[in-house]
Amino acid sequence: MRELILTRQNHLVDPTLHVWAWQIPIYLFLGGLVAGMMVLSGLFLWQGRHQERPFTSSVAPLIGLVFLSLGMFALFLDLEHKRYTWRLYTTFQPTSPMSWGAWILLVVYPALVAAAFVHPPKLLRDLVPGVMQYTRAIEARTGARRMIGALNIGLGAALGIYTGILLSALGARPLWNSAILGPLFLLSGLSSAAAFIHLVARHVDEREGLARADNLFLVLELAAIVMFVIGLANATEAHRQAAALLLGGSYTALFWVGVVGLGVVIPLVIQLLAVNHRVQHSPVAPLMVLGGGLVLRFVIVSAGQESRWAALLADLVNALA
Amino acid sequence: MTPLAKYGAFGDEMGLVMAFIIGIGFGFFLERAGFGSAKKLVSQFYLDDLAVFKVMFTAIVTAMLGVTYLAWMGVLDLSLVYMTPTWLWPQIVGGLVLGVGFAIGGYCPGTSVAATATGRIDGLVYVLGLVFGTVVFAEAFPLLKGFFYSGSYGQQTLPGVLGLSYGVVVFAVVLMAIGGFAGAGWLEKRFARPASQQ
Repeated sequence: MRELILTRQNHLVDPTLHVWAWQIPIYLFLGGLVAGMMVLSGLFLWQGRHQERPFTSSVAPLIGLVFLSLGMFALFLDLEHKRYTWRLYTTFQPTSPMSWGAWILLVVYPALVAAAFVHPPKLLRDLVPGVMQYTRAIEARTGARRMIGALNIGLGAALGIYTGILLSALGARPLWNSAILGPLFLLSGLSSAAAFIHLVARHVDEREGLARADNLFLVLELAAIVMFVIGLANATEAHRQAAALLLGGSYTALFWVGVVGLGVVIPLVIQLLAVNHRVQHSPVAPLMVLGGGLVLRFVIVSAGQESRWAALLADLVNALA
Repeated sequence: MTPLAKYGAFGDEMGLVMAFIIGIGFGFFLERAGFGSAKKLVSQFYLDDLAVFKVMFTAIVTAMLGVTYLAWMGVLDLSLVYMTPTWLWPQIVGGLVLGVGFAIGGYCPGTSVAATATGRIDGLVYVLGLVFGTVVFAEAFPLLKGFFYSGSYGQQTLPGVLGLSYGVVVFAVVLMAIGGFAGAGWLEKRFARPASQQ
């Protein structure tokens, strides 16, 4: 065990394990945002409410294509061997979250395009005049629209959860080693997507509706955060040490103020007042939700890399020595 | 014993969380008192509504009496309560800059955040200006450093400067507050705007 400790705590290994910089949190945030937009647009397409919610159903899928591409570009920048990225698509490994993610990211693109074709916005109609023939074909078959809706819901949920599973599957990092992380990232993606649409949509009804949905997502996200922290704090010593990073350790203020306070609780209170017409709607709450979602990814990725089993093993060896 | 942070009840990180919670409470009560409105705030410069003066002076007196009683009861160690040292000239200039900004913009830093939280665009613009000013100050600090640390008098207290006991000063401030409230009421009546202008 002493040899193991000496090897693991080699200064050339552990201090440099903080290898994921800004690219990964940016990718996780944009991926989660697109996942949330897909679920919301898919839901309205499934329900046949796409004309009542034109931004969510028509414009959001197109914006999703841009955001996802930006996120994947950030991911690409992080890769060590950029020229071999294509090899991810020469195999499918069912037990690898990374392999699932690579394929999900690929199939998400046609699903977003299909969603945009159901009720294309004017810009798309002007740029691609031929799009209307697909729209008419989809309109002629209710089942096709519902299938596109279901596809977007399913792939959006998969994309949102996968970003959390990708981290939680890495057992070497105790902070990430939680089953709640997948649902937490999905809920954060949903709340970010609802906030984004609330921020930029033109129709008052749509904005109001998305603000109400965002309130529900924020409550669920808060519950997931509480379960995530309680779960870690009541697990093994390594998990407890990981939780301590958020409960008095070096990420406490950023997590509880930046994520929970400014990213969830305060915008939730403001939006509850706004939807009940006690204060006016403003960009403040949705911007706070988006900022909170971004900070959540930065905190989880950064604190996760700081959490380790090696410290526990060092304690054990010192106790045995 | 208190201060809690000084006695190790929580570390720096948790202290920031506490500051956030207290700050949110402060902002909430500011907003509920109507101080999220620039009109309400600048009314004190027209002397027709001195609610800001009354609320702030009440807060100062309440905190002062609370600290005094807690110290007398042995709950609070006053020697461990942080006091900003006096740098006379930069603090006079800083106070004037804050006052001018308050009169022009209609907010102070705290009330601008409360206004922003309730969706007021003027509050948001004020906060952006605040951030911009802070960045400019930080970047220009090497040039301003000499002035920033000028007129140093260390930690000064009213009892120390006036040569009076702590209790006498507390009593005098309470009397000053009562007089101030009475004076404010008289000024509000004297400068009250006709209903048609409100």
